[in-house]
Amino acid sequence: MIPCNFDYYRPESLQELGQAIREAPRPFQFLAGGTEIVTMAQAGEVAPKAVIDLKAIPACNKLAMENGRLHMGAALTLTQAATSGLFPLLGSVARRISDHTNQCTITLGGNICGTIAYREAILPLLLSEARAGFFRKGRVVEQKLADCFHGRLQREEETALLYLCVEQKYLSMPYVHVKKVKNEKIDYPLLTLAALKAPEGVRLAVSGLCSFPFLVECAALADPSRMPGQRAEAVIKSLPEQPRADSFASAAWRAFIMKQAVEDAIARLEGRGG
Amino acid sequence: MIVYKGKAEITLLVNGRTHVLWVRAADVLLDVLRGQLGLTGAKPGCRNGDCGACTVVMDGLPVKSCLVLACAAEGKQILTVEGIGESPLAKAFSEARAFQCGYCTPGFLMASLRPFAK
Repeated sequence: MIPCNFDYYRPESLQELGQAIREAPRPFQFLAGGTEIVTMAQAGEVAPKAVIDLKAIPACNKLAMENGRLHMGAALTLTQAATSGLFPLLGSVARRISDHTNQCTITLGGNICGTIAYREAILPLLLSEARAGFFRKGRVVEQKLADCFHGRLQREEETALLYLCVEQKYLSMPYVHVKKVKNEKIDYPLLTLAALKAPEGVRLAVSGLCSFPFLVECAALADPSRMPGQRAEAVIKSLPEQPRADSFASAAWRAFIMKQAVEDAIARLEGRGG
Repeated sequence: MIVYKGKAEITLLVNGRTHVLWVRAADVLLDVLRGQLGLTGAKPGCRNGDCGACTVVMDGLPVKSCLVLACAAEGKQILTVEGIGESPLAKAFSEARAFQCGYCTPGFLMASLRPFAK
């Protein structure tokens, strides 16, 4: 059981969300799927005075094409994102996060904003230049996700993530998704790699390799005149930090499987050998 | 807007029956099912969302009841292993002796109830 007591707010509109934020005792936490908050509260690692449940807010549950963009509410579960078929790369990534049962509870927003470092759901969104809608000081503010995600989603205090939007053109681009694990199929990643073949070239986003997920920034990656192996080497040299070393894998092993995965992804997306 | 402070009265729909219960906002569904409704089929295992012994079906999909706040389950249709009775799935498990100690078998049954769309 959760040893602390807290108040529970379930707003059903943005106006009520603003009211809940004004009235809730501090500190409070936003609740979507709740898997992380409940787990941490049961372990005594967090003790909020209130939780604000976002799941009844229409903007947080929307899943629709509008004005050339796919609008995905932050309270959509990984299962909903996967079974909709609207964003195949996101669906592929979502199906490998945790297990099938937890995917029915874990939300897009929860996975992106959570404290667990992998945040794999962010990868397709970074690749597709997604925009994020926030509820900040009573207003909905939208900004490019890449501008406010640097390993973790940078949010002002008391700001809720409401939705994510992706332009339609990205939804049908060829993609590759690979998740490398040490033991069981359901496991934290040694490496999760998502790749997209955009008109200007291959894009990559990675989780599990370093201490945070990131979009690969390497000019050589999109250079078709270079062989995949050369481009993979260039990507390894452009990493934002050294690969992680832990009980699952050494940094050298992670770098090795990353290089192999990048080379393979490029070859598959460009229809060529290594 | 729903606001629950301290202990609050909530309504849960479990196995086709409506129950009015007093719960803390911090009570998880697993403890409410077992402690207040006597539905002890769902089991506390890891209490961390890993083992699945607490699995129930909520609005047609399996969820780990140790990770769901009871008040967040309001308005949902909850199905526990007690609610599937002598279903073909339960009979198949029994006939095939598809269990060892049986503690987490309810979790297996509820997770197996609905095939996942590919």
